[in-house]
Amino acid sequence: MRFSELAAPRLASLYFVPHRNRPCFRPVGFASGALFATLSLACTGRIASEPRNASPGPESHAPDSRGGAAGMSAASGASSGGAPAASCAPVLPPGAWKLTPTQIRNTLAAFAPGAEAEADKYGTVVKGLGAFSNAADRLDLSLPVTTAIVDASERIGAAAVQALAAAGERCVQDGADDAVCANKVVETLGRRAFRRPVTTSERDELTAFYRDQRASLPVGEAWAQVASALAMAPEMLFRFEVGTAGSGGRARLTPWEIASRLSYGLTDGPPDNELMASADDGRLATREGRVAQVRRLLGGASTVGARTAFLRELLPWADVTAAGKDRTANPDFSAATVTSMVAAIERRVGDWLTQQPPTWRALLTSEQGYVDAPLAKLYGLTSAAGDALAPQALGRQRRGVLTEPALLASLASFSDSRPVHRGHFVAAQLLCRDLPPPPAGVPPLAAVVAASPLAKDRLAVHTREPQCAACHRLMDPFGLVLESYDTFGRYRTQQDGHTIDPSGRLPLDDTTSVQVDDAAGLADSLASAPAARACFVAQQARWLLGAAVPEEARCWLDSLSAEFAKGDGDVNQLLIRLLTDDVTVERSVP
Amino acid sequence: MKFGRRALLGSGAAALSGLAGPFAGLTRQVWAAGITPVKRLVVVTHGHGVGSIDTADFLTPCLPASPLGGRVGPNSPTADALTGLPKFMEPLAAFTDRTLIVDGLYNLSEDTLHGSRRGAYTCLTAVRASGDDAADGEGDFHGPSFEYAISRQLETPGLYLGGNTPFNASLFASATASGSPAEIPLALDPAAAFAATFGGAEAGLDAARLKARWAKKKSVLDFSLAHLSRTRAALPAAERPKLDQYEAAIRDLEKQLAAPPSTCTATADGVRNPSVPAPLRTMEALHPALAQQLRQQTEVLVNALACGKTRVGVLQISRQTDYSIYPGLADEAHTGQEMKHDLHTLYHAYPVDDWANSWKEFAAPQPSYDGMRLRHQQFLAQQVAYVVQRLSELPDAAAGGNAKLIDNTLVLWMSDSGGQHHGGAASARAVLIGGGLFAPKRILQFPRLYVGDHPKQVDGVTIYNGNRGNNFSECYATADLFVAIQRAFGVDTRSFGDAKYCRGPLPNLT
Repeated sequence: MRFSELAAPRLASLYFVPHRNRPCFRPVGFASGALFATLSLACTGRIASEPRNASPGPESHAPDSRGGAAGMSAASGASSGGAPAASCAPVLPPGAWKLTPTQIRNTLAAFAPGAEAEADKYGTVVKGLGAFSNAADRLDLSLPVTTAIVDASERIGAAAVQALAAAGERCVQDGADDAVCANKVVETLGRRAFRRPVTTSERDELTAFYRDQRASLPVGEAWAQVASALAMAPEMLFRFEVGTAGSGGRARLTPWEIASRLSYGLTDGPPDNELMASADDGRLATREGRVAQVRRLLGGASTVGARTAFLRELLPWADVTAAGKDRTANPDFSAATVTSMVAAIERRVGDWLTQQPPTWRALLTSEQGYVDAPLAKLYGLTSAAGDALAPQALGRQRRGVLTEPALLASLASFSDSRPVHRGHFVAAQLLCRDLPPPPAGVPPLAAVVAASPLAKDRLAVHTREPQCAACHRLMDPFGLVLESYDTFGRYRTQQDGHTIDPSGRLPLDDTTSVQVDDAAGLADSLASAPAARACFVAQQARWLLGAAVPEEARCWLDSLSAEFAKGDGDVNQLLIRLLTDDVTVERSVP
Repeated sequence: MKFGRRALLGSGAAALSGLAGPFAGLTRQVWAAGITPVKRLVVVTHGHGVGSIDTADFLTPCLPASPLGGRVGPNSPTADALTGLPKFMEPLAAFTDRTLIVDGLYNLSEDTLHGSRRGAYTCLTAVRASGDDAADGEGDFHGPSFEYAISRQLETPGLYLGGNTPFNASLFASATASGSPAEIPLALDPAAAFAATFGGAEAGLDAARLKARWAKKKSVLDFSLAHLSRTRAALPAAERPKLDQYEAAIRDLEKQLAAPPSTCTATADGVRNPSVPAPLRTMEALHPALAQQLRQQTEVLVNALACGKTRVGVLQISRQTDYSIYPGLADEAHTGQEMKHDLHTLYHAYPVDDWANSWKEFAAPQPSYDGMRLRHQQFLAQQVAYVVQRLSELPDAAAGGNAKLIDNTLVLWMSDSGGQHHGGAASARAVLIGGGLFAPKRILQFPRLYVGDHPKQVDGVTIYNGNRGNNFSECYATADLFVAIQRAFGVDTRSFGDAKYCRGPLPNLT
């Protein structure tokens, strides 16, 4: 299933339409089913407090978390506050997240340099409908995956020990395996694997295992056995946020849990040395300490990959690589075009991320894009373009990331622009509209084949029929504004000899609608709309938390949204708050 | 009903032995059922329906008459002798005597018929689709799949192989898990794949060195299991299930290593063409790369069964919605031209996912698309035929004599969807082939589940719509078939999946 379908689960349900000349109905998919819309009672159209289908987060807490006394001691420093107001003091649930393949790869790079390729053995992402791939319940540790992990752990273990030896660690070499050495190697390997100091009991357990192995194996092989066990330990595969029990039914995350939260959230990798040091010396216990670390990370290039990954799932532009297109309608369209499309939007996003600060408005309204030869053809540019992507001002027709061909083509089908689907994407993904699927049992409307091929004429039926209008009025207008772009993402003013009118009135929230002339107007409207900004806050929070923000923490999200609504919407400031507010370091205790 | 891992272990451990005494515990249930015990299970599965082509043999799924002569009774299945196979199954003609077709099962676990995410695909693979139901109300199946439950009961690790699925990643580094229509490069020959899977670095070691190597591996697993248990215990109760699947898998691997090392190796007799009628070999050309890969994987699978490495195997040709483009699947009118449409589009019955145009196209038959779907289904049947062919050739060492693997192996061919589109859930079919199970050479047709309040006229058009009001008590679910198969393997269960829709073992199989 393509993510474009995943992102639109509420409309991706099955519909049945009668099939003439055949006695039975047959199922059809999203686009045609969208014709047969919903009963008005089914669609409240409310702005959801969370994106649709956000997975519920974990709900309980273990009394005995890793990190132990050290975590308590280090975390006992005074907190300096952070933003939500005193009356808003929600608590998030504890949780466990299996690392994504990218996170595993980056973790292996630190634990066993040279064995990063083994990350492929740790399983693929199992996406759910509408969920981000890093959601807490995206788990697959079935037998085939586990078999591969066990197999890979042998090579990873050997690589980890080789790396220690190469770094001059004499304790992994023959003749140097006394108790002091054993503790030292265990603490080194364990810290890299678990991204925290090993506890005393863990150290004893691992050194005992080493001694057991050493009885029959050379020093290096015995340590490789230990490292192999660490490579398949749950602490390697998972990221835990459990904390240590505190007062008032709340636990506080250990400094190393906080460090992992920051690093995996921003870099998809384990904490770097500086972050680990700030965990060790207690600096992460204060909001100032956390803010300093987040600012440091945001100032470097290490966060671009992970932040692009989030946007790639929010705006599923990469789906174009799997989308079949009718090349008879565009002979210039080729695999090279697709490659250029994806590269261009990723360059645009990469540039945006390194702006200081990157803003919501700039993401949606910048007219600066990238062009190479295939894209120049698609854009209809007459100026020469080279083989490499080069920055270029593209004008109003390409205002903002929503007008990037990769995204528009991803949201379209083989030969149709799919205005309903595009509209649903904007309403659900960018405005967090609660759009349920059409309830079953709704009889199909009579066949309507409009005389005009224009979507605006075809979709007029949705406004005529009340049971359709309840939901389609919330999404169709957005898709119709994007009708200026065909299935390939090419700009157009006409379709089959008919002039396209891309203007429309956009329902931005339950009480606000704006009239726009075209897609640029859509971009401007979303850039300013509080509902769109609040939705982005919720989506970003869900990504960073790996789960939906629970309803009881709504006040926290509201405070973030209020701040994000100011100015142009500083995304870095949003990330700082999402990662450093005091709310983020406390967990409930069941 | 959801299976608890521990409940399964508990019920299974007492009754069954492991690989060393493979079949000792199987007889209790199956003798009671009056059927021959089954030793092995092979599931061949894919997205889209099995033979669900309107113009092919299973015509008119909403009508009470079968083109094969079967009669659909009001409250009981009707079995008819299978005198000839439907068109889409022609590649399996040589195995008619061993074939039982089950038709008319429904496939849902909640009150809607959109079965693409909740249906058999989660039952037919060990991949658990978790976490979706609470959020979106679609009610995915949770818990072990039926063949996984069987492998647990038999205390044998399952072997999962795939074509356009995530499973191919473990053997063939050519995963197209995202549904990309990209061609699948071939990487390994069967013998190398078998060695990598079951021998790995151990290939070529003598018995003593093999034993030492296994001991090393087992010691790591032992330690890891103990550590995992302690970690799990320290987690909040709600988080512990996240480690359950991992813990169970490690236990499975530990048991595998506890068995005496086997030096059995793949027969490595090369990739072979299936023995099907020559005209149907053209089916191979529909997707030569996939066909070749599946043959290689079949070699790994059948040799693993022959060597006792496993007793439960899954060959997943594709999963759920298949976006593959079959290069040779052009319609007659465009022979030689590039096949434009991926299978998902093809099975939508119209070429363009365009609501307005699709309506127009629905108004006119599309025989060329029906033809393409038929050929695709025959391609699938040919892959099944090759599996059965190879099982028919390899000896069953555990049975001795002249027995072949097929004599004691059940091959279940089933789509993970009911209808031809991935969303269908009211017309699932299963093809069972093999020895020692159920009564073959029959087609068993069950009353189809009607949805809604039955045909009604809207604007002069007959429609069948709605999702309630149908009489579940007259119909049978895929879950009922799964229960029957589980029981044939000695799994003591009376329900599978959502008990609300499971009536118990599917009747009339024997």
